[in-house]
Amino acid sequence: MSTAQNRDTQDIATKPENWLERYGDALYRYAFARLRDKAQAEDAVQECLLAALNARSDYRAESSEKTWLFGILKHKILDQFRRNAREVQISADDEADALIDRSFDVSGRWRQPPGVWQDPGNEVEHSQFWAMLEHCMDGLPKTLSAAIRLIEIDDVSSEEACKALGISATNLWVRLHRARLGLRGCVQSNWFSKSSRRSQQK
Amino acid sequence: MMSCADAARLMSDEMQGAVNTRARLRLRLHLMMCSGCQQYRKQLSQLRRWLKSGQLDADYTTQPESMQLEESTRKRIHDSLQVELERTQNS
Repeated sequence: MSTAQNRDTQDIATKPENWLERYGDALYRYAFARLRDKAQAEDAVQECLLAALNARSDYRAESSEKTWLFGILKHKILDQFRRNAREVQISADDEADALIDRSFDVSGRWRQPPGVWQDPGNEVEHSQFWAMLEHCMDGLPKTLSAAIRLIEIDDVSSEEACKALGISATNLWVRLHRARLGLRGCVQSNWFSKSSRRSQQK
Repeated sequence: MMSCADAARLMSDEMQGAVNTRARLRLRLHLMMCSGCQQYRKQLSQLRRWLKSGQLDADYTTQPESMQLEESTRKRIHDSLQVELERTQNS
């Protein structure tokens, strides 16, 4: 079969008809983890596949089809963040946010000073550990988890993150600080405080 | 003296490269005397390492496998793709 001669759109390895079946659910899960909203995640998948369809002549075999599609999805998710930022958000997150504040007493001292964390050990414990960490990410107020995901997981620059979230740099630093504080507290109580196996005294 | 709450904020800002020299010096001073904040700083870099490890960003994401597009949604997306596909092929 000749490959080099016939490189019109029909012959490119990507078959749009198969995308939904092959990647639909994975794309959806990825989007949902970030948007925390069913309808928005569904829309992101649809927009992603439509955009991919129209850009399929740009696809180069340098990256896998899957990586390519997820790259497009990431942009669609950022677009959605931008739209969300424009809406005034009544914050049901305030309560959770207040909890994070309680890491310190009135004079600004740690209520429970941080201790030593051992890195997760064997394989079994390993998978439990990641599940716990994801759970803690999900438990953060939406505005905070969106910020820390963009910066630490998706490796987006501060400028891009500010644009996507519609906030100032200072506001971003505050959110990241609170996200880290919240995440630390959650990991502490759901992992390190939970079992004597994991404590430093072992 | 700087409080632990202020120090925690600075340590987070520092991870973004957003702390000036003066503040960094005051932070260092606080850290010399505060083991809780020393540990917090270590924990922050552990958190960063874990989040950046890629374990949370596998393609399938960490949402359960059981989480799938609903049939009606799948059909809606399928149909819109079909329309677009035909449109682009005819043009």
